[in-house]
Amino acid sequence: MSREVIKVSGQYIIVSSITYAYKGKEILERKGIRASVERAPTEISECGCHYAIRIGNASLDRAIRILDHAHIKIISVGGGNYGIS
Amino acid sequence: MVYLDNAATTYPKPASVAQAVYDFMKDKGANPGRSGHKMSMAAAYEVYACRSAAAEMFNADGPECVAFTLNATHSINMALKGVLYKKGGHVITSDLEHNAVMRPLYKLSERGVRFSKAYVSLDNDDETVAEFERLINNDTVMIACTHASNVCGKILPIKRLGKLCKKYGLKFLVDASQTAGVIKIDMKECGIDYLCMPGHKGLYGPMGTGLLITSEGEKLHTIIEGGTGSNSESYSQPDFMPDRLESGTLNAPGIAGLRAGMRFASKILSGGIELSEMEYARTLYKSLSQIDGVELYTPLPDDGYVPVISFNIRGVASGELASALDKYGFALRGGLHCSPAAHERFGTLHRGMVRASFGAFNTKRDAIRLSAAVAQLAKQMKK
Repeated sequence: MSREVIKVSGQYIIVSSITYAYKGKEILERKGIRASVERAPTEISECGCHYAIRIGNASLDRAIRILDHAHIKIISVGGGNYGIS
Repeated sequence: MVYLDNAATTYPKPASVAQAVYDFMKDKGANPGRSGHKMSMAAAYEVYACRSAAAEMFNADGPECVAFTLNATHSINMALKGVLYKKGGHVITSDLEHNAVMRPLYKLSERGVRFSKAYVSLDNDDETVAEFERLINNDTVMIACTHASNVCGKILPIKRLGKLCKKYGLKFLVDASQTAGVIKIDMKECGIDYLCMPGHKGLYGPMGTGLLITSEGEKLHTIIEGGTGSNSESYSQPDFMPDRLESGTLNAPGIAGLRAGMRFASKILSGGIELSEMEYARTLYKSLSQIDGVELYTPLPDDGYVPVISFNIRGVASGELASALDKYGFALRGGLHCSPAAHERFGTLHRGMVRASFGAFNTKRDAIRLSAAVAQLAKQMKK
C-alpha cells in the first residue's frame, strides 16, 4: 500500500486513537519491533491531537504491513530516511 | 455486620482494588487519552490495560470493543437506544428483568418499539427457549435479557438464546449484572452482540464503573456525544470504537480499581480461589425451608442459579423484615429490587421479598447465623 511519508526525525505511524496506538504497539512488540506510544509530532499532526506509534528497530514498511494486516487504521506516516514502496 | 447484599454491590472489595484506586490517584492522576505528557500517557495505558483484560476475560474481538460506562444501566441504554433509534421494531425480553432493561424499553415504546416478555421456566430451559422462539415475529430485531435474575437468581440459557438469535438474524443483548465475574461468559460461544455489565458487582471494581462490550459499536447510534481526545478537528462523533461510545473524561481511578477487581474475579473463575457461594446459598435455602412461616420462591437452587435467595415471612412486609434483620446485624435488601417485572411474575409486587446474596467474602457461618435470626424473627413477627 503506497503512503505519503512526511519528513520527520524518527519514525511515526499515526493511528485513530490512543487505544489503537497501544494495541498497535503490542502487536508490533509481539513481532519483535520496538515501539512506543507518543503524542504525534507537530510535523505530522498540526492540530496536536493525534497519538502515534514510534517505531524503533524496524522499517516503517514492515511496521505498516503488520498493522494493516491487524486491521489497524493508519491515519498518516512520518519518517526520516525511510520510504514506502 | 454480616453483609449479604452482594447482588446490589459486592462488599468488601479486595484490598488490591482500593490500593489500585489510591495508586492511580497518587501517581497517575492525569486525564487519559487527552494529553501527551508522561502522566497522561501512564493514565491512558492503565485504561488500555483494563480494556485488554476485559476483552480477554469475555472473549471479545479486541480491546477496542470494550467501552467504559458508568454502570450496566448506562451500557444497556446505549445498546438498546443505539440499535432501536429508528421508529418501530420489536424486542423480546424476559419476565425476570430489572428496570435497567424494562425502563429503556418502555421509553422506546413511546416511539413505536414494541416488546414482549418471555416466561422463564425455573426448572426447564427447553420451555424457556421455546417461549422466546414463539414470540419472534417479522418485526423482531433483538432479544435483550438478563443473564440471571437479581431477584431469584435463575440463570437464563443464553448460549441457546444466542443460537436462536443467529437462526433468526436477531441482535442479542445480555445484561450480565449478576453474572459477570461470577460465571464464565464467552461472547463468541454465546453469540452475544452487546454484553452489558457493572464493574462493581462480580468484577469487584468500584461503583461508577461499567462496561459495554461489542464488536458492533461503530454501528450504534450514539446517545451521548462530546470530547474524546480523537478526531478533535471534527464536530462529528468518531465512527470508531471505543471513542464513539466514550465521550467525556473517563472514571480512570475507578477503571484502575476495576482492573484489579477483574484480576481477583479471574482468579476465582479459573479456580485459583476456592469459593463456595452456591453451597452457602443452598445451606441457607435448606435451613429457611424448615422454618414455619418462611416463604421461598424457587426450587432448591442448582447450577442453574447464582447465589441469591429471596424469601418472606408470611404476613410480614419485606421492608419490615429487612429492617428487623438489620437490627440483628444482617445487611439484606427488601422491597422490589428495581425489578417489578420479576415481582409481578412471583406475585410479590405488593410486598416485595427479602434478598440474601452471597459474595466472595461470605462464609457458611453467615448462612447459618442468618437462618437462625430468621427463625427467631418468624416466631416474633408471624401474623
